[in-house]
Amino acid sequence: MDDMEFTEKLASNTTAFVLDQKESSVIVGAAIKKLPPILKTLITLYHTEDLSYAEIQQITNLPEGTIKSYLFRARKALKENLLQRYKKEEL
Amino acid sequence: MISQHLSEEKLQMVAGSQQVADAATTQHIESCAFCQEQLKVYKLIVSAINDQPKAVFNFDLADAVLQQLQVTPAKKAFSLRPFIIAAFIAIPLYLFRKNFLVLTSGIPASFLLLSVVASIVIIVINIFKLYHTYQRQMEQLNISE
Repeated sequence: MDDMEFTEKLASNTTAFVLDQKESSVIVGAAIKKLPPILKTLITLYHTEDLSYAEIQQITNLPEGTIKSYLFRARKALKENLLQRYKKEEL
Repeated sequence: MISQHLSEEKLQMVAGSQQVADAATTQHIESCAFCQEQLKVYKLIVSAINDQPKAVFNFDLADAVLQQLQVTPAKKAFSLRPFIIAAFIAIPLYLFRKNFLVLTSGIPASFLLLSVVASIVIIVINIFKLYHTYQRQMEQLNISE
């Protein structure tokens, strides 16, 4: 079962996907720690420290497009991690 | 209306921004249970990331910075000021020494002595006050050790 099927299953049975905010925060926190250092840094700077792309660009010397691309990859990785976690629990 | 599911980029953008998505996107999300769930997952992730505690240093940042600072000894610049002040006092005294002696000749010695002692006391009190102020300022700066 791939992520698409799994999410479709979730969509058909929303009660099966009851995520506790606190629980998901712990899972996401652990997943952030497993991210490659650059993705972890960008996620922290953008979301936790509320810095703008321009500010992150100054800190990391990365182009804005790269920052956006890395942030996209990081959030996607976190989503996959979260879904995998629930997939395991369902099995 | 958008017939296909929203892309991951679009979902992340909608989940992460405070702004309302365009009409077509909103309409699609409302009618598509799959995209609703995807969006719910992303919103949950963004919310969970925002809930993470801020990163803290496991070392004393101020101490680390201070250690990196290069201590340059303060240069003792040669100042002409004391010599100029001394000249301003000594030259008139030298030039008008005869007049000065005439000026003080009529004054009793005890009165002159009293004036000199009073002047010294005032100077000592001022020096003491100046030093006390300096000490208090150093304590406020917390650099006097």
